[in-house]
Parts: sequence; C-alpha cells; structure tokens
Amino acid sequence: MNIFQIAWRSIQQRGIASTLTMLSMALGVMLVVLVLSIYGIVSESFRANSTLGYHLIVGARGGSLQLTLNSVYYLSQPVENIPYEYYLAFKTAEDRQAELEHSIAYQTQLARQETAALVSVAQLGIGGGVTQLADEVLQEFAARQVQENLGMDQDGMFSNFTGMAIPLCLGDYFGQYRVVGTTPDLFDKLVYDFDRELTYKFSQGRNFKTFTQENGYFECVVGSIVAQQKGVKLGDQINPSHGDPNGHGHAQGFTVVGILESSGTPNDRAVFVNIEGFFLMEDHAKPVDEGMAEDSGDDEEEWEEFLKSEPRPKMMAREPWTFVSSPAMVNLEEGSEADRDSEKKSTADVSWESFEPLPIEQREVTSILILADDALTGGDMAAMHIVNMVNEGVLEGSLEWSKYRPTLAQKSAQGVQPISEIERLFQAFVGPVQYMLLTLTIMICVVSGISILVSIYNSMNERRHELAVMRALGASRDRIMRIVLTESIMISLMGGLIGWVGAHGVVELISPYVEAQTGVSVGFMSFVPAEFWVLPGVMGLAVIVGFYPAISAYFTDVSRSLGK
Amino acid sequence: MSMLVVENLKKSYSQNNSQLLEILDVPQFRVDEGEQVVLIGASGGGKTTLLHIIAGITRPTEGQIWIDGIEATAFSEVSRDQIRASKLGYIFQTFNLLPGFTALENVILGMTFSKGKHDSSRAMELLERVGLKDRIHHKPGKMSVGEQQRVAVARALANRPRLLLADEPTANVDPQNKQQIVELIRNFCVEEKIALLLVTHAMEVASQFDRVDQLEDINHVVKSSRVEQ
Repeated sequence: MNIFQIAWRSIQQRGIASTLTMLSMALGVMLVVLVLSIYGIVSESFRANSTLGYHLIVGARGGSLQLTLNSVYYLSQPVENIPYEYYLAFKTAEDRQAELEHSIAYQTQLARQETAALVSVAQLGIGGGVTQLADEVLQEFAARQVQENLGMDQDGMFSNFTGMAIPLCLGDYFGQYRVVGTTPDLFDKLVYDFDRELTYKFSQGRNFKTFTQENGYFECVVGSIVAQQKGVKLGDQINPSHGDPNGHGHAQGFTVVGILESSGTPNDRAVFVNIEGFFLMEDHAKPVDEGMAEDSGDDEEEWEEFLKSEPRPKMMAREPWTFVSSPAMVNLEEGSEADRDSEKKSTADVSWESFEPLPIEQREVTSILILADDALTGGDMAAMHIVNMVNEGVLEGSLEWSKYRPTLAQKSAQGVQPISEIERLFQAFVGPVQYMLLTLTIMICVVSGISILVSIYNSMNERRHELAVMRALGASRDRIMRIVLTESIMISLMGGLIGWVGAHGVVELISPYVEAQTGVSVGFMSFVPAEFWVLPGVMGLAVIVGFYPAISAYFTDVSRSLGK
Repeated sequence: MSMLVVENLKKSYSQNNSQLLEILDVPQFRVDEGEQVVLIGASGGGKTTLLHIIAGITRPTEGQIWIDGIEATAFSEVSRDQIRASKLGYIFQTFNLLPGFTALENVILGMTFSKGKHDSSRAMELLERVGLKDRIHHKPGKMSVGEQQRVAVARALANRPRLLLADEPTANVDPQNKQQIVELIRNFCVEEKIALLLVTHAMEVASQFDRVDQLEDINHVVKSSRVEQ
C-alpha cells in the first residue's frame, strides 16, 4: 500500500468529518473561482473589441476615456464630433476623390470654372457641334483644375500608415441600444480577433450596402442581442430616436437587412446603419453656416453665388430635412409646407433618386477606428505615429486641411489607443473591487483550511493509536508525517475540485443571462488564467494546515499510544 | 546462531520526584534461530517494555541488542524502523488492527514499510492459511475476536520476519481460539524458520513450549524486588 491508499482509508474511516471538511473547502474554492470568473467576464466585456481589429480611435478633443467608452462600448454621454475631412485624411487619393466630389467646395469651384469656360467659348463665337465638344472638353479640364486645386488627386495625410479606417457616427438610439452610423467595411473587412482571425458574421440576411435600389441609403443591420431583446426581424423598419433613448423619433426609418451572429463584443448590443443614410437624417447635417460661414469672406460669397447659379448641381436637389439649417434649405422650407409633410411619408413612397449624399462640409463623425499599418511592427509603430500627429494637430495646420477648413485650423481631434485607456479604467475601477472580493474569498479559503486543521488535529487523538501501530509495523516518523500531510492535501484537493467544478457549473447555468447582459460568451469550459493557481494554492494551504497535525503525528509516543 | 541477543539491558524512567524508576535490568538474554521461547511473568513485570525495546519502539537506557547479528541499538531511529519493518513481526495483545482497513489491507500493511517487493499474494495466502479466505474484504469491526487475532498473526508474518514477538497473543481470546492461535503461531514459525519470543502469563500456553523463561530470572529488577518482599 502506498501513502495515498493509506491516507484515503483514513479519510474514509472518518467519512462524515472528512466530507464536511471537504465541503467547507469546496465552498471556499467555489467562491474564489466564481469571483475569478466574474472578474474574467467583466474583463472580457471591457476588453472585447478593444483590441479587436483596430489600433486606435481618432475623435474629438476632450476626455480620452469618454471617447473610448463611446467608440468601443457605445457607452457614456455622446462626445463632440470631428469634421468628416479627418476621416478622408486616412483615405487614398482614389477614395478621397470619389468622396470629395460631394463637397460644396468642389461643386462650387467646378460650377464657377465651367461657367467661366463656357463664357470664354461663347465669346469666341464657336457654335453647333463644335461648341458641344468644346463644352465637354472644358468641363473635364475644369474638373481637373478644381481637383488639383483642392488636392483631390493626393493621398490623405495618414493614408500611408493606414490599413483601414472606419468612421462611426453616434448619437441616436433604438430603445436603449445605440445606433451607429458606419460604413459596410465594419462587417466586410474588419477582423475583430487577430489571433483567431474572426470576422463578423450574419445569422440572418446580409451586410448593409451604401446604396441599393430597394432601400436607397437606408439599410441597417442589428446586433444579436438587440434582435433578440427587441424582436427585430429582417425587413423591419427601425426609426432611431435622436439624441437620447427617449428623444423624438426620426421620421426616416432604416430597413433591417441583416442580423449579426453573436460575437461576444459590444457590437451585439447596437444597431448599425449606413453612414450615408445616417447623414441624411434630420438634424444630422452640420449646418453650413457653421462649416462654411465661418470660412473666409470669399468662400461665403462663392457659396452664395453657387446657390444663385442656374442650373445648380444635382446634389443640392434633395429632401428638405436633409438641409434644415443650410441656406438652401431655408428657401425650400419657406416655400413648401407640403415638403415638410413629406418628412412623414413612408419610405415606400420615396424616390431614392431624389436623395443625394450629404456634402462633405456638412458631415461630421464621432470617431474613426484606425487599423494602422506598417511593415515592421504590424501597425504598432504606425499607430504611435498617427497618434502623435493627430495630437499635435499636424493635419489642422496643413495645406491639405486648409483647402476645406481654412478657418478651423485649431487642433480639433485626438488620437487614443483604446487598449491603454481600457486597461487604465479597468485598473482604476474594476481592479480594486476584484481584489476586495478575492481577499474575501481567500479568507473563506483560509477559514476552510483552518477547519481542515481542526478536523485533522481533532482526529489525531483517535488516530494516534493507528499511527503508533504503523510505527510498530516499521513506518518511519517521516512516513507517518507524509501520510498525515497527504490526507490533508487529499481532503483539500477533493474539496477544491468539487468547488471548481461547482463554480463552473454555476457559470454554465448563468451563461445565458451573462451573454444577454454583457455579450460575453461563457460556459462550463470558460477559464481565466488565474484559476490555474487555485488548486496549487489549495495544495499549499493544505500543506500549511496539515503541517501541525503532521508534526504532532511525527512526535507520537509509540509505546504509550500502543497501550491505549 | 542467535537470532536475538540482549546484553546488559537496562530501562528506567524519571519520576515526578526526579528519582529514577528502574523497570528492566537484563544482563543477558538470547533466542536462537528458529527457537521458540516463552517468557512468563506477572503483569507489570516489564514484559511488554522488553518487547518494545527489542522491537526498537522504545530506546533502552543502556545495553545492547543484536537482531540477526545486527546491533540494533547502535543504529539511528530510521535504521531501527527499517530493521523492525524487515526482520521483526509483532503480535499485540489487543490485535491493533486498523479499523478502516480490510483484513487483506491490514495484512498488506504488515509488509508495506519494509524494503523490497510487496506481494499481495503473500497476504492472500496467509489469510487463507489462518482460515479467513472468505473474510479478506471484511473490516475488523465485522469480525470476531478470534478472527481479528488471526488477521493480526497473518499481518505479523507478512514481511517474512526472522524474529516474531508476540505480546500476550491469547489474552483476549476465548479458550477454543486460544489454542488455535498458539498452534497457528507455532506452526508458521516452524515452517518459515522464524524465531519466536512469546510473552504470556497463561501457564496453559507456556506449558506447550520446550523453553519457558521466567521474567524474574532474566530481569534483575523483578528478582531484587521479590527478594526485598
């Protein structure tokens, strides 16, 4: 027989006492593991998405934590916005050109150039087919001139360091859940878990598109928890409320075209609408007088000229509520009560052709998620570089910026690395609570350990005789000591295992609730690394508490004990 | 060749008044290889103490003990434990079986602490020979007194001892079992050439042995106290 068999027989011999002691240890370990698991769940819910797919967030100056909470978790009060041009600074020339064609600056200058060219041709007295040909050539020439003037043929300032940039527009709600205006890239391209190469998937439907004939700019997808909690189905219309959960509902709805698979990230708890549709909703367009009127006097004059020009570019002929504050809108609003009523009409009655993307100058984004890119460090160095440049206001001071926002040269944005922000928040708030809970549960374990000590020590009186018999049969003092220690370790480990399994059973039981509340997927096999210290810790405790009875056994007077 | 040699053995205990109480004074005592010796004497005469000292459980105040040619008293406690585990068998008056262990496990325990191979078939064989083949998985609490002592005999023989010490092995068993136990012990010792030192105060047991030593003849402490009386 080995010492384990001997110790096990001894444990069996004192079945009730051993079981109670074991349960006491099980309870202690269960509490420790539960606290660690809860800590893990909280950590995971905080960290989910913080490292997933992007290196940094660029948003308005102010609290970096608030920006992080808004952009990563869709929590906290909404933050200020930054001009859309900031987003374009992360784009390539090709992307910028496509977007900047929707800028008032471009349209204005283009119209002026074209007019000037047409006047020149008219003055030359060329007519007929030749005139038409010259018109086309001149328009193209004019467009190129304007593009060069505005730097549309150049890459954005940060584009060389950028793998991907995804804009987020926040501020609207669907019930308690945030509505996020973004681009399809968030679900088409973002790998939200680098290690496991996970991308967002759809349990139903598809990703929203920038424009479809069926739904225009107004498609959206919903997170798994939102779909579950709000009973959202494909084809439903979602009308976000503006500003806060109880704010007035936007008249324009978005058609649900996809429901996300649960990803365990905060994206399970949000609604994602096409950013173009988001911009076109009432109160979402930045008033032009804020954007342009603050500009130089020349620009303002240009703007006024532009509005008077005939024919005006197509982009300006849009639904009235898309320009509530622009000068153009004022005219339209004053002129037509019916137009205001059209705000209420269903999307089925709307001709999508009448909706044009909002001009760049009227756009703002809450934040931009940046996946940095460099050949050496996989983006880390580039991320640092971008953060430094953004925080130093390099873009605002550049020529590139001044072409669009000449009077907004002050620093308006900040770059934040979400991991460090989350880590700081975690250490500041969650960490101390966890340590307090851990301390309490460790104390419970110590009490359990002491009960093991008491139990084994009390049993020593009746066991002294047994140990003396073993000594008489040739067992050394060391061996007797090891038997007692082994017994203590076995009781503790069995109790520890029961507690560990019990804790994971509880986690399995509460997993649906946890997932619904936090978006974190947990189950019986969910482990936190600290757990792997629990059983060695229990073993150490068992050795400590078993040591005293073991020493007592070591010094047992065999001759006297045999006589009992 | 002597299996056990005791020379100038003395054992005394300190009393509360710091005087020494002398228990044993054995100038010389021998048991030869395969010899069966009965030591008789009154209760309280130091018989159990003598056995404990021979077994290395208690240290003598002075004197030497050789077991199978090895001077046990010259070794450390760990070595004496090992000598006890490998060369000695011990049968207790109160059996001292471990209640949490089955009959088989109690017997196996008898060989657990000795070095070398621990053969459970030896334990099975011994239990079969003591007539407990059907009781090997029974715990002592479920066995009769006679059966318990037979398990104790099997346990004492499990490690193939060279010297068997039996301390009043029949004191707690009924007359019928008493004879069976004595015969079992004697037969085993003959078969396995084990030297036997059996302590008893039962004359009907002692009368069956060729060599019967009186404790007062070898222990001078007892002898002198009797003279004084």
